[in-house]
Order: sequence, then structure tokens, then C-alpha cells
Amino acid sequence: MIEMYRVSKRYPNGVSALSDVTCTIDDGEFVYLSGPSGAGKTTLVRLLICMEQVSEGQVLVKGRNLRMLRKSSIPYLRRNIGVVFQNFRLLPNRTVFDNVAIGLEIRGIPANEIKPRVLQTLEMVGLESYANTFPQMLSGGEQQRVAIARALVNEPAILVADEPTGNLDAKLSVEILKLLLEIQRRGTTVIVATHDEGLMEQFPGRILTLNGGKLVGDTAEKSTLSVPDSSDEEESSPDTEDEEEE
Amino acid sequence: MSAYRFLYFFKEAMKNIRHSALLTVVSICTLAVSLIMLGFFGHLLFNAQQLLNDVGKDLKITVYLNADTTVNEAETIREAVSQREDVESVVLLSPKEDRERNRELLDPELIAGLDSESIPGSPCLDIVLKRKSRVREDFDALTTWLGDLESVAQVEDIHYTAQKFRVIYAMIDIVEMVGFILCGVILFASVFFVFSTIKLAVYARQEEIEVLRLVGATDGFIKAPFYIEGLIQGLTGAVVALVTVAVLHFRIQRFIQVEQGLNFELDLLPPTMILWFIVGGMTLGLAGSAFSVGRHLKV
Repeated sequence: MIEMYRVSKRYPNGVSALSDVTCTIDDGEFVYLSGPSGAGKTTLVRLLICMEQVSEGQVLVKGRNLRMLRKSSIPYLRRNIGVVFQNFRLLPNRTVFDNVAIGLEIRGIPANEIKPRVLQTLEMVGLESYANTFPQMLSGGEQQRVAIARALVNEPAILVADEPTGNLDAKLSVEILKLLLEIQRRGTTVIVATHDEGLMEQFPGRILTLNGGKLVGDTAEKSTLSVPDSSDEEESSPDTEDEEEE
Repeated sequence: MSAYRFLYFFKEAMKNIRHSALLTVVSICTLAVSLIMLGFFGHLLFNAQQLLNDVGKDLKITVYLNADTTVNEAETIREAVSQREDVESVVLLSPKEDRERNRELLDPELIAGLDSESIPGSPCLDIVLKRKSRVREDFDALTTWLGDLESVAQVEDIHYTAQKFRVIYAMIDIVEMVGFILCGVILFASVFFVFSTIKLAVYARQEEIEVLRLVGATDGFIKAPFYIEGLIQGLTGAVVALVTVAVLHFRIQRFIQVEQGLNFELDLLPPTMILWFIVGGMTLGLAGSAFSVGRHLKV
């Protein structure tokens, strides 16, 4: 379970990225973080993976208060939270297999165990035949699936995707969303930050709407098939990237 | 650390080295030069001091007294000198005996036809010091004592063969000081080059480091390849230094024994020197990488 109580984030330059956000995400939920550019979606994602420190309030992940977490414990938390980014962040000089294997290598898992686990994860995202291919030789959708495989290989309890379809066309975006839903159905909590309303309509889920750093809407529908209510959300340009101040 | 993990770090370190091969070579060479400077020349200076200390074992001092010194006065001085702990023997020579000794020392052709009174002769004390290895401090104490002795009214002059040692020690001091500064500069340069190569490696792997952080790599896991890279550079520098000194050793040995015809055995690579090269090289490499990682890698 992820719990956030009156969470605020202010950057040293005085910009307030999040303000007084309170919400709870249950285990196994599929949740969209929605809102226009600069709404605070990326900041929330970064708080969850401890790339930023909360300025005020509390964030609890699986009962662990992130404010109380020692610096040396952060890597172990991250092993339980898979992260996917809009720009994939794959290493171009490593094969698909090696990119996915990183998550296991850092844990010191022996090579003979890494191989079956990586191949199994690649099979799950439909890329088992691309194991020895380099990322540049894949399409955007395929690259994003490699990134998802890398995030999943450690079997994390939570998967956070920050604009995972931001660089993909509509068809590939649907492919990725289907995959993320499949992952959620297997029991993983999936949080997707996106401003793509079309996708949210096509694949309904709970929508947490942010605007100006505030939580302005929570459909709390918890992965039902109904269309989310986004009436209170200020529309943003759909083709702009979420540019949080960092 | 498991062998598998170490192998992973080692492979990553080798990847970094391949990425900035030229700078790595420069870095290794600088490390080797600083090791040679510190170890080899330090060893040479030490040996030179040892040699001087050994040569200083047999020391003789001649104290010339005024011509009008009475036998009693000369005996008093001789008695006082013989009381010193490091004095083996003191012999009082009359002007006649001194003259006789000088006659034996001079070339017969040079003094042929000369009146025996023309050859100089003074009452003097021949002092033989105890045979022992002397260090710089012993020479300093000796010089102070002879200074005191010279201030005695009946003492005219003192011939002290070890005075030259003081000059050589002073020269060694200068060489040591210059060497110390030079070593400091080269040491700094070698650490700087390791620092720079690691910096390049950190920059080159920035993207990968970011990914590693995101998937939950610990600080140690991210930093380890850079430390190993520094160690590899240090070790390679040590090997280069060892090979260089070994080659120098054989060249100098050959020069001394074959070209100079001297039966003198050099010992330029004692076990402590080999240990110094390896430990010193690894320490320098590790220090360079630790500074660089601390400065450029914020995990």
C-alpha cells in the first residue's frame, strides 16, 4: 500500500511542485496520475522512488516512511519499485538481455539464475527473440517493452511508469497500456503518469488528477471499467512532455 | 564479495579503461615515474648515506699545538682527549717526530737537498677514533667537540679528515630536498592523472549510473568498478616501475662490473622495494580514483 499524507514538495528555487497531496493506493491497484504539464506528476513519481525528498507531509510505501528512510536503504526500496520512463533509458551499448539483466546483476544473482529469469521476463513482454539485439535496432514500442521488462525482472510490488507512451504513436501506446494492465492483473500495483486522456478512456482505471501541484480529483474507481471523471481537470497540450522543475 | 560480483566489477573497470585508453596509459606512466622517483632514488640516496656511514668508520684527527706548548700542557690536553668515549687512542708527537713523519710522507725527490729543519714539524696529537659506523648526528657531535678543542689556547690547528663528510652530507641534504619537491610534484601529477581518467569514466558512464541507481544499485556497487580501475592503473604502474628498475639494475650492474671492472654487487630491488612499488602503486591509484569518485560521482 502507498499512503501519502499532506505531501508537499518545494524546490530550493522556491517553486512549489506539490502541495498538500493526500491519497492512498492499495496493493494491486491500477492508477493513473493525470494532469497537464507542470501539474506535479513527475515530482510525485520521483518522490515515490526517492529521487526527491518530501518537503512536508509523509509518504509511506509498504509501511515504510520515506522521510525516515536512511540513504543506504534507498537502493533496497527501489528494488521493490520498478520504474519506466518516457525516454526508455536503455543502455545503447548493451543488448536487450543485458539491459534487463542489470536489475539482477546489482543484487549479485549468479549468471546461471539470471539467464532464465531474464528470458522469462522478455517472454512476458513478447521480446524473447530480441534478447541479443541492441536497443537502437528496436521500435519505440519495443524499446519501451524492454524498459518494462527491466522494471519487472526483480518482480517488484509496485511499477511506476512516467509518461510511458509519451514517445509512442497511438497503436504502440495501446500495446504498452495492455501490457501494463496485464502486469497489474498479475498482482503488481501499477501507477501510470500520463496526460493522454484517450488512453485513460480506452483503459479505465482510478485517476488521480493533479493540477498546479494539488490533487484536484480522485475517481477512486480502482480499476473498474467505467470511464473516469476528469471534468475538474484543466486540459493541457497533449503533445507536450511533462516538464517538472528539477 | 563473491567471485562473480568481482568479475562483474573487473569487466566494468576494463570497459572504462578501454574507453579512455590514451589517458590511462599516460596515467600509468606517471604513476610508474613517481614510484621510481620515490622508491628507486630514495633507495639510492639511502645507500649513499649508508656508504658514507661505513666510510666514516675509520676516522683520524690531528691536533697541532703551538710550538711553545710545554710537555705538561700537551699531556694535559692528551689526557683530556683520551677521556672521550669514542676515542680509541691518542699519541703525543714531538716536533721532531712530526717532522720525521712528514719527511716520510713527502716525495724524496722534492725534499732532496733540503735542510731537515726546513720540513715543518709541530707538537701534535694523533687521535684515532673508535671504529664504528657513524651517522650524521655523530659527525655533528664530533664537529662541535673539535670546535671546542680548537678554542683551547695551545691548539693551533686541527686536521680533520671527516670534514669532507659534512660537505657530502650537505649535498645529500640538497639532493633530498630537491628530490622531495620533485617527488611531491610527480606524486600530485600521478594522482591527478588517475583522477582525470576516472572522471572521464564517470562522465562516460553517467547514463548507466543513472539507470543503476534507478534499479536499486547500492553506492558500493556503482563505485566499485571505478575503485578497481584505479587499482588496476596503480598495479600496472607498479609493474612498469618494477620492470624499469630491473632493466636499470642490470644495465648499471653491467657498467660497474664489466666496463669499470669493479667487483661490486648492486642491490636495487630488495623485497621491500618490490613491496613498496606494489603497495605504493595501488595506494596512489586508489587515492586518485577515490578523490575522483568523491568529487564527480554523486550517488
